[in-house]
Amino acid sequence: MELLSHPQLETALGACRDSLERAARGELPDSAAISRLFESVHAELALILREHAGMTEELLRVYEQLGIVFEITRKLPTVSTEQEVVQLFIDSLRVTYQGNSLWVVYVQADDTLLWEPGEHDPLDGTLDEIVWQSIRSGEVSVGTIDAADGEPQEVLSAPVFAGTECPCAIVLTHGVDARPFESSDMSLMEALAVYCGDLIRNHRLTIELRNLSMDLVRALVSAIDQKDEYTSGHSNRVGMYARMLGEELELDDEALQMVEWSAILHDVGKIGIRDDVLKKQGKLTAEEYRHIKEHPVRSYEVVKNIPQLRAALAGVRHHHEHYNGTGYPDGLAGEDIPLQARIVQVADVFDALTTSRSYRDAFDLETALGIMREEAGKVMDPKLVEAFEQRVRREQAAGRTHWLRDSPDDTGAPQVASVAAGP
Amino acid sequence: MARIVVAEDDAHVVRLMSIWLTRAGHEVQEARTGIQAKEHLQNGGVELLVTDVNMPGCDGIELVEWLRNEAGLDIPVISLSARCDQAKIGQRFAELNVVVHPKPFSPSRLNEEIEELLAAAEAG
Repeated sequence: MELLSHPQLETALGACRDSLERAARGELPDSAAISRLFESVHAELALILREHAGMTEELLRVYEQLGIVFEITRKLPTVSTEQEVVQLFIDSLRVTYQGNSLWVVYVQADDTLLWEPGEHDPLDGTLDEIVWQSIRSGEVSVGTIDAADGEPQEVLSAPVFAGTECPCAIVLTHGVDARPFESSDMSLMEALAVYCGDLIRNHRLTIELRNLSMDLVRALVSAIDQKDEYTSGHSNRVGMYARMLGEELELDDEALQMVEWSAILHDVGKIGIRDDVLKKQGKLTAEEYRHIKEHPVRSYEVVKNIPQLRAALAGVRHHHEHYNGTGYPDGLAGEDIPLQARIVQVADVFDALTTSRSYRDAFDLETALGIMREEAGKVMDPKLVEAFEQRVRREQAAGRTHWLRDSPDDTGAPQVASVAAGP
Repeated sequence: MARIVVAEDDAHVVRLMSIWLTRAGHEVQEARTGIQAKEHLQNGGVELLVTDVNMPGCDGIELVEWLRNEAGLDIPVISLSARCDQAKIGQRFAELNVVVHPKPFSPSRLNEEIEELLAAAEAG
């Protein structure tokens, strides 16, 4: 064993060896000298043992802390909301800090603190004060509270900062007979609070970015919709209807998001259609009709350049295919038409029927659903038409019809029963 | 309180674990090789085995295979593995009914696991 860090022990052992050699040569041992040697070896060994014990404690603590960090990192992919992120940290601390109470203290909009679990400061505002102190200083605070009834409590509060905002603090409390908080507890909690805060900040930025891109796309498509007064707001409504139908079909979150994108963007290619054709009141010539039928492929050409929206392309390209194979651009039929496209189509037809056109008024809800039932199997997938109606009925039963456009007046009888959602 | 064999070739890890588990009230028998672990296990009375995966002579998987098949002991086993992400090891240990614990060992989590396994073994 290497003893370089203990030169005094080396010296003492060397002196022992010398004495033994002298004894071997027949020299009489000096009992006082031997006693001194023995004492110095003993003192050195005691020192080493104390060092050893200290290192053992430190190593155990480091392993313990690493265990928490590893556990958090391992489980990180399973969390998706801010609350879940914080809860993951709390759960990972629970085993290590057995015998402590663990809290998440949320800073609310009105500058009050919400304690989880329990809602309120368990010690009537005295703990709140320590939490506020840690938030104001931006550092971990430790304090002892004399509880009015019962034993004093030691408190550790670690504020979690997402950038400059402090959404919450992680708080540990225990009775004074528990192991007191040490600087290693403070360092650990500080590191974890920073880690937690960064995760929350990333989460918020991701959501902001997603909302921003969604808003940008909505702004873009509504600008295009406004080329024609009759289609104003059309794309965003189709997005909403497509999501409703997707929910009825129990699509997962990712598929729902993509079906909504697809529906919002389905007509984006109309930007490349000549205004005189798009807004033409009378009957279209064959050439004009051919031109306007280019829009799904034009939409497809626009959207295909956005890698994040690749999963929304099917609905964009194929929303004018017909279930019986007579649609465009590719003449697909039945289940060969991607599900996403069949969903967008039902949503598109529903919005076309329930809004006014230059050549007719909007149909009321029942008439629109009736027309859709008739066209099921020809234009649209009958299963999806049924599912959509089911959803509409459920919305009605729940009294939720605000999503429907203002009911058209019943006086204007529909003149043209055109089912196509525009050509 | 249980008699536990800790098989681990790394001297400081086996000492540290021994100190930790003794402090938790267990009787620990240290083994620095798989062969030594077998000797302890053969002497009887062992209620739980904590074993490293990589050891000279007889590695963790061989040791547990021996334990389950030749010695016919169904005691709970925790494997300390720095390689638990390797599917093969994980799968083999799952077949042998071994709990895989990541390295470096997390003291309080190890205790918790040991308590749970002992309680489950007692409940049969």
